[in-house]
Amino acid sequence: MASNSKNLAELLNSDVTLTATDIANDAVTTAKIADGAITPAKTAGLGGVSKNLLINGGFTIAQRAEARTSSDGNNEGYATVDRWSFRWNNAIPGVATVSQETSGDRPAGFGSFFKVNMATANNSMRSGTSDWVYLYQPIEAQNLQKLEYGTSGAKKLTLSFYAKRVGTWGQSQNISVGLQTSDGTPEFINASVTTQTTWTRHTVTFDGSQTATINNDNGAGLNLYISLAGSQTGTYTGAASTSWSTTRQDFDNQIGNLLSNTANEFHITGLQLEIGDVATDFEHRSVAEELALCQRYCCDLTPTATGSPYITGSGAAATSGIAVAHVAFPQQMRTTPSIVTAAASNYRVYNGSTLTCSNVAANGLSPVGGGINFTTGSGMSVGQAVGVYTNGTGHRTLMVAEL
Amino acid sequence: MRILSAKYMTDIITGENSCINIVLNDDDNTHMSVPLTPDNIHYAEIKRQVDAGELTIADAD
Repeated sequence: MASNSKNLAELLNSDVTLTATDIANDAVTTAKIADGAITPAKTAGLGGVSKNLLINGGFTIAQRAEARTSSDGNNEGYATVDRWSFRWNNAIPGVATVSQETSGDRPAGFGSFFKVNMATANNSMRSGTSDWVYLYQPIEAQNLQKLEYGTSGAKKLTLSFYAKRVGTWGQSQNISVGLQTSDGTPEFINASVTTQTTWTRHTVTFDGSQTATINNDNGAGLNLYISLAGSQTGTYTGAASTSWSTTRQDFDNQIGNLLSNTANEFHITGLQLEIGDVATDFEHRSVAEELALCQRYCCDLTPTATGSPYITGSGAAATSGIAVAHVAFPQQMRTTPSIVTAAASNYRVYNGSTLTCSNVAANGLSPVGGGINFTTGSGMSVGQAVGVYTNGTGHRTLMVAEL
Repeated sequence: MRILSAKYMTDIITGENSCINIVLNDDDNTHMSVPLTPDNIHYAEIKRQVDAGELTIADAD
């Protein structure tokens, strides 16, 4: 009997079982599969449209800045790439340049990655403290109801990403990846990943939590942590766990120390968090799709024109000293945003004359838009049409409704 | 969020407090105008610092 066939009589008598090796390569064509023969149970784990729970996992969007110098309290948090917060805990010493990179060594098929490049080293994590440096993305709770957390049907999640290490780090060459819920009693789960000096795809599968709470609202429901340095005997560290725990554990205690030398770097891209226990191919979204998702949390109203870039929207003088510009956001934001700007003195109101601003303030903003007050003190007539612009292209006007 | 100063701003029409303007203690002295919205993370942090006695918000002019 040929290796890829079975005796028909044996099959009819159910004497043997047909196995995958009995089927010749390419023998099963699309035409031979009956309509409806492939059920959802057979495609579980393959994902689909919007399978990636993370936003900007390929780091293609950086509305705030492409690069910043970051340290504790300075350009900490959301400073460069959208939806990703880079944080320094416990006033930990050290300085890093964090950046969106669009050239150089990248995984095949990726146009961007996020880089952490040490500028000032810190080669000693303080024992027994909450020393901790991490990259973080909180996920909006109402987008997570399909996880069925808090029930017996809680879904597994698989995290995949490409990473590359430069240099030999202190303590170990490991990073810690973990999830944390926010609502009710927070729960924690994390794992260690050993970084490599070439781009490598890493995969970690987390069990679903049958006890955690994720509210159906616009708050943070699940937080992803990529921890790059920390105290191995720290306040919030412990052994990697394969099950969720209510004991606070932000990162695994085998964590390395990216900060140990100014020659050290960390590169990462292609972050994907999806339901199931299989890491499928990264979901490459178009720039327009990714930007629209990001704009729910941060929206840059800074015009790109050079010279005297005007704020988008019409403006009028509400009093002799306050002009109101009315703006509409391109996406409905998560909540009413904060206005994040340079100093007010960088804004000008133009009503035929140029007036310098002394204050910028929200005025009846909502998640879809509203007014921004620009105070000049005097020089306008009530009802007079005005334009508002900045005195240089380096001044950003951001609407921020992050988690 | 290290806040250098915080001050209430009023609505032009109603005269009531409408937002809090803050200046951050960072390299850029970033300015923020923060709505009085509980699920805004900046407002939540301001409220935390006020409740902890770490921050005082100046009255509006």
